[in-house]
Amino acid sequence: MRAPLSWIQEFVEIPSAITAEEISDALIRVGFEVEEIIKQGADLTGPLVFAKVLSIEELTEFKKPVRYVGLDCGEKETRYVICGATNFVVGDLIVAALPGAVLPGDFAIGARETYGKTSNGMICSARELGLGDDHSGIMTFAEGTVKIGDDAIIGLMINDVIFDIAVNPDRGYALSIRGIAREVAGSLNLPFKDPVDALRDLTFADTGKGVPAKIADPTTASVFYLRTLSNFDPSATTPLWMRRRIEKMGMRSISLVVDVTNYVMLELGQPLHAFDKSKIKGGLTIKRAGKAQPFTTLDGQIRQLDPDDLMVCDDAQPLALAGTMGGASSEISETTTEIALEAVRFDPVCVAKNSRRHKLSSEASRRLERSVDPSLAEFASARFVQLLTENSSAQHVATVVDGQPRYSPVVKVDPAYISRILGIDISPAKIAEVLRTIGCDVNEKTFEVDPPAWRSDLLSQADFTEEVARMIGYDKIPSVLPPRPKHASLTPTQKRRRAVSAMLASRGLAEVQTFPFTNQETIDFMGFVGERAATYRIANPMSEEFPLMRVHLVPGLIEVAQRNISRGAKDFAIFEMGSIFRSSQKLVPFISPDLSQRPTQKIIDEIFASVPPQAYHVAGLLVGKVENEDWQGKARDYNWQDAIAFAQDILQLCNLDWTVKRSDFAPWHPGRCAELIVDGKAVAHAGELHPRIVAKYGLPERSVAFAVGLSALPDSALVRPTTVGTMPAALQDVALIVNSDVSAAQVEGALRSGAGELLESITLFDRYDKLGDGKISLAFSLVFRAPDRTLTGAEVSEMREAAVAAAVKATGAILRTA
Amino acid sequence: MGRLRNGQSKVLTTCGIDTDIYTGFAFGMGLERTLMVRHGITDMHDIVEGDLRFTRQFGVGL
Repeated sequence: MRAPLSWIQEFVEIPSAITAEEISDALIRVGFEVEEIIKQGADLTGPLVFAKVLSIEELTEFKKPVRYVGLDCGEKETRYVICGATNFVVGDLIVAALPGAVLPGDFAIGARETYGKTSNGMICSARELGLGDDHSGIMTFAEGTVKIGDDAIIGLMINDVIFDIAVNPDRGYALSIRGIAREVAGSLNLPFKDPVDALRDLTFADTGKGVPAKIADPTTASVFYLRTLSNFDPSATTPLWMRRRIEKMGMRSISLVVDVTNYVMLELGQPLHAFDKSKIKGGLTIKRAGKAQPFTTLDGQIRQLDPDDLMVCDDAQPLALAGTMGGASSEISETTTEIALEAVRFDPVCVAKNSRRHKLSSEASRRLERSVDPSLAEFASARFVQLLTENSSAQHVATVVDGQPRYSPVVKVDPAYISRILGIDISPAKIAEVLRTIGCDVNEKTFEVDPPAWRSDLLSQADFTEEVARMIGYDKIPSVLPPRPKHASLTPTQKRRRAVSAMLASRGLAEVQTFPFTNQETIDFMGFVGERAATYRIANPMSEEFPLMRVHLVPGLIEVAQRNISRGAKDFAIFEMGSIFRSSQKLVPFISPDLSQRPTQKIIDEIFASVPPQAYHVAGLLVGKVENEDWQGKARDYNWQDAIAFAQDILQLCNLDWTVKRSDFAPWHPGRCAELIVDGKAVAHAGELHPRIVAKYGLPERSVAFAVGLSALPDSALVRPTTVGTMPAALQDVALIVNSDVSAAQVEGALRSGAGELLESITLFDRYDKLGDGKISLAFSLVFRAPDRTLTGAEVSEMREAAVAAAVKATGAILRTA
Repeated sequence: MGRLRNGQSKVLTTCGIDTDIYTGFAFGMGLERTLMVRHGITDMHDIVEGDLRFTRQFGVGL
């Protein structure tokens, strides 16, 4: 929320020695984050004057609208300028920058020859003066609000410091100048002048002929003030000082009545709504819509009401979406002469629901859903009457009230509790002083604390403790590290994940984190089908371009690779560890248990069961060269063996046994992809990416990737080591010729099964593929060892022959003798 | 960087914890912002974009 210093100063006198930065620090210290200090006018120098448009000559020979405008700037002679805007007519009052002026952005104004004329100045838009974003046209002013020739820097109150403050949701009272000024005063220890004090004794002549006001259900609103005014001249204009204050807060000036409602809301924090009284049939009642029906809000949109929506209705129909937005049928227009002003302390939850259901967040709803001071329905509406009657012909007719404000109860506070919780000793006298600064009444004998009207959030001792901490300063609380709990440790799953990522990182792969979102085009293009392509759609995605949860990690890695390549990278390896999502179970509506007590175990179990399982994966993408060419040798590109090796190393690290088989699996190149199987389940894939994918994303040809389903891996079994034999080993080499489509893994498996128990190890050490005829030769080295004796030559030969026989039978191999 | 809230006795009592014996304290920390302050990172985009020229500077960090 923005807060101009000039307005804050109306309620707290800040010595000029205190700088804007110090005020900002003071706000931050008591818990209000100042996001920006806007020094409006610091980059603007005059002359800047108000002027009247005397003549407009349209220069039609150019492609875009260009006007040659004669201005009365309060000088002896008419001043002529070129202007590209079209939102003004002769007689309008505007603001012009004259030669010598410098506008924000170091834009110096001087006499210029342009479009065939001499332009001696510039008519300005709000954006050009640094006053806002509006650049749809030049600034215009209502008759009587500005004087021709006057200094506009002074007239527009341009020189000001505007704080952009992030107000936490639990501090709704600070969404007003009254609230912010109070905090500034409290933090800087300055006296605060509450604007409500001047309103407490306001009375208006009352004819008794008001519009009836009723709250149907007191849980939806506590107090309803309905004040009617008549004799209003709709051509009345908003005074410049009010318009400028509204604009400095980031809102627009619309018309006097609407402006006064906004001004009072910004000043005090109570949203107001003005109805055209002539459009009200009977009286106004605050009640729920009751049935679904269409309703046109004043922004012209037709909305479908929910029966539960809280509305402000007359005898015939709903007129406003309570606390959120008024209806089009009763809005203030250029013919309005009678006004009904509604000021209600609505229940925050009702307004919040209205706002969420219709996805409609307004300045009013933001404040009401964060809870507004219940006393303001009376005083803010009084302020409205005061301002409107002072600035127009309007007269107060009558005021009708239903309900009354409900305030938070008095709380008994134990000062020792506060000191104990904060960990510093604060005297009861100091605590009372701090609580009074924030507006409480404190009885120092009984320590009963009566919270102020605008603080509906102060309900328990803990709340007051927080206020004391905040005002004294969190930096005053000493930092003490808590002792370490004795049993804290990592779970096996956590240890495994950390080990895997540490291993990959130490091998030179860089870890990246991508958003877990994707879209249908990517899923289809990668080749995912069936279960592997079914995922959940996000109801409110960060970006409409990525509305689905990701089904795989590799597409995200490919996008990161693409980004790196577009910035000049050539050779690199990246990995990511994270969840992937497959719509394996139907989503159920959100389970929201009653929180007045701890939910039952059954409900807790239901909640956990309602969250579908999310598989945890690790995937890597290897691009370009693994080794550059140097004096030690030639360059070597990453190839699919490297990808498979990483996948295998991960399984190895988890102490698991696996088998390998060729696979045809998206997004890999069919035939250049290996599938790793543990306990009969495929847990990992690795190989070359499909050339179609590589081409589309601009990756180097033959880029490779691996993906391991970490959550699918079984726990590593407790190692039960075999005793190590000390008897001598017998080595035997075997070379077998097979068809080239037989895998080495198959042959090795067959040899192993035939060789018997005494085969200690078997290693493939050669693969020769130049035999022709579609045949290859695989050479294995077998090691035999008995635990209790030295094996005889005959025994070893027998085992070797048995192994070879098994291989021949299983794979059609032929023993290679030559 | 983070938000904290003094242990709300109501939350504790609802869960069956005796607030005369126990007090509570809840807080949340933004990991990215904390990282930015610790290492002097000025643009949060660097953390999520995966540009290796940024990531590599951090080493394995065990």
